[in-house]
Amino acid sequence: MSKSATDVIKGLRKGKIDRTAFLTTVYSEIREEVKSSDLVIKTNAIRKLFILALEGYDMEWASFHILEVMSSDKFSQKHSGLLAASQCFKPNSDILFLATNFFRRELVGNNTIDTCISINTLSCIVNADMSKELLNDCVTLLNASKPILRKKVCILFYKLFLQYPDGLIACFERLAEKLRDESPGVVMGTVNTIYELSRINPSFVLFTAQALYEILNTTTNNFVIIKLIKLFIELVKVEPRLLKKISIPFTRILTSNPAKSVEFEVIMAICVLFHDSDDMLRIILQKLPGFLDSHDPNLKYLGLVILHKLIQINIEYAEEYKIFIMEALQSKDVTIRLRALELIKITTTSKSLVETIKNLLIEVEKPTNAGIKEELISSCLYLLSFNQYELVEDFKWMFEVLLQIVNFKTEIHEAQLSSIMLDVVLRVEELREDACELSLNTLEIFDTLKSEKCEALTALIFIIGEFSSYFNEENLGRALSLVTKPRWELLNFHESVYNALSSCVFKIFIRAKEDRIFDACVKKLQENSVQIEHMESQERSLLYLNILTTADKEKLNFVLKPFLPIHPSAQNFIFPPDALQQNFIVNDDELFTTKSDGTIEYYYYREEDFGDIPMTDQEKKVAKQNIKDKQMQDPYYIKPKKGKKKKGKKSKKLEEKVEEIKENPDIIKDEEAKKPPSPKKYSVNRAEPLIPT
Amino acid sequence: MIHFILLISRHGKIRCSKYFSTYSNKEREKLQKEIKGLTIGRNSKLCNFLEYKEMILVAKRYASLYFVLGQDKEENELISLEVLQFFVEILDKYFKNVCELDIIFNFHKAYYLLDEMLVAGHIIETSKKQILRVIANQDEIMEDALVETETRSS
Repeated sequence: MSKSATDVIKGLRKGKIDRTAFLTTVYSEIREEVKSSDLVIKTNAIRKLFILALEGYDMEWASFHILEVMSSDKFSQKHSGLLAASQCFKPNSDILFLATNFFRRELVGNNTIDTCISINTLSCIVNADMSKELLNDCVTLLNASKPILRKKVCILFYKLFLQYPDGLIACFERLAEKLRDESPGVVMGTVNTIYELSRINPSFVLFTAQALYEILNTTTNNFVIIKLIKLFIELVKVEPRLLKKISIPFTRILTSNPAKSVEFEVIMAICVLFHDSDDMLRIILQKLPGFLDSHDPNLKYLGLVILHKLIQINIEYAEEYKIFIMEALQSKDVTIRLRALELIKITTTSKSLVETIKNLLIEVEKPTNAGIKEELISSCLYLLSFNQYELVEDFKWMFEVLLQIVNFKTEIHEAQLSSIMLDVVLRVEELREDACELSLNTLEIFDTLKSEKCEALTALIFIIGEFSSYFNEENLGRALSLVTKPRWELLNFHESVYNALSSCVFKIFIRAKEDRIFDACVKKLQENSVQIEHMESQERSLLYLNILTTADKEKLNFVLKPFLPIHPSAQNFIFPPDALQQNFIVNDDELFTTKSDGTIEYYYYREEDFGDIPMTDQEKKVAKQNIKDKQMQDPYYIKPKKGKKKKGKKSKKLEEKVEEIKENPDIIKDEEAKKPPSPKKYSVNRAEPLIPT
Repeated sequence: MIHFILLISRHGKIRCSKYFSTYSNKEREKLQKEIKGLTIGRNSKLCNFLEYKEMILVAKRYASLYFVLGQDKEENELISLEVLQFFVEILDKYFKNVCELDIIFNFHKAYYLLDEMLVAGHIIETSKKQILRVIANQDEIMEDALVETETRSS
């Protein structure tokens, strides 16, 4: 006796039984039963499979069987099949090729209930091909006698248009007519579809504005009112004259509709559309405490959302509601805290920055905020770097804050953090001395600062190296001993850290110019060039080592001058030297060879290549002609086509050639013999010096 | 629009899952796992809205079941809460004082009810009477079929 679906459920609920074993047994039974030709057994199997799918089993392999069950005449079987289909078919499933016909039969069939349940499933699984095929049948259904059918098909159109936008142009007017349908459900479905379309292309649906306005004034259904409010926001974007017309119904709704959901919606709409209207804003400000002061956390949350919009209109509201924002940040509710964070981002001024950052950093350390740690730190960084550090008054304090954040060790923010640090130290000269000292202090504990890419560490090392001229004697010594510690190699940092260390050592010497420092630097660089695993770091160490030990100490002076940052477009004012002109030939072999009798043979012909080679005009002409002849004979050279080739017409030459070959197969052999030897492959000599001695 | 509705038990079992947008099986599993973590055990004194990826989750606990709905950011959150409430009320009317057991054993009915209420992620019927009438109609047809097969087999 095969188990029924209920048996399976009961079986799963029994405490003592081994679930996995039970499920596996049921699954193997299903695999057998589903192949049966008896629809009753098949349907039963599909129902059980559905239960297993809720447990995580895959249903797609049974797609064809599901389709068979769907096509049954019996309503219960069809219903079960359609349910399984809506769960497991996807728009990219292959089975949908077969299912299209089934759905077409259902849509044109006489049985209302069957059609209804088919539309339910169709709305979940329809893809572009099906949309195209079934569009016309759906349009016919728009005029069905039963309102439930019309209602369902109206909302189905949304999915059809999503998948097959071309159908929109043909059918949309028919759909728009349904706005005046007598059944409110049909109107609701149509409004929903039109709203979704307006989000994509508002001008397309604009002509329905009149009908929509009428509905707005007559309907009492809150769901519809909300959708219409949203719709009109989209429409006003393309037709500003609507603004005046809708102000009346919006004000009416704002003052009369008791539902909080509608109230919220219309308040948001007014903030977007009527932000210069003082009357409207006054009413909103009256309503706002109803949200913010409410005991219902949902309303509090919505109140903060409204506040956000209001502050974006007029920053002065921020002062009044500061208490709410601070309270919200301390709320037990994560969602409300996140909203509060958003508000803090837009209400902080340069006066309140220090206080705000202090509060935020306190929040970061609280264990309850573990989930939103990232958002808190992003907000800090956002505020600090806002509009090119507009809010910051004391950069030394800012740098201390940045170092504090480095200690929080958030990997996501490291890149941004290090770029802000470097940016601010480079731009603000007065900061450099303090920044060096602070960086040095932080670097003392470099062991703890290890992360995946070590961007923060690299930035700090760069700062103490680049600006080591600001160090006094003592600190310079400290810095040097810090970067020469053997511990760096042991801890296996990211490559960029070692690169930065080598550069740092080099720069420290450059600034200091003392002998004892010189020895320490050279020793360190020698070690680096051997001990560190990364090739790039070794190479850099060697490079610096070479410069320090072999070059004339006087020539090092040119490195001592600090490089200033320049604007990217300044590069355009510097002309490249002659050697880098366009017709610079990297390897002569590519262009020509000198034959044994002294003449030059060219392989490629380019005007610009002749620039550097001294030749008379006559010689040039001869050379060009030689090249052209060679190209005509060369089977590998693609000749430039003269005039456009017509599509679809094979070239006559090719056809003739084929005919020729068919008649006389020996032609091919002759052709082969005629071919000149293949051109010499150019060789690249990479060891050759770029600038010949 | 509404992207999905999930009914999750206190222990994390998915009792009902309806997707109105396309999600591959893997994506569904991941989604369900993450949402279970976010919603189960959440204090009912907190607000019902959660930010999740580019969506907002509206979650409410009714007795031993968590009703979770995933909506676009632009949708009205309070209305989505209404949708959940409406769904629960319909279930209640249909099953006469619904409890989780009803949904465990009659999950297909829950899906059928949901289908009459929401199509393509939008609510299309706000009258409980209408929906219940349609479902009663469907039940009748199924009953007739059952009687027919029984009389045929006997």
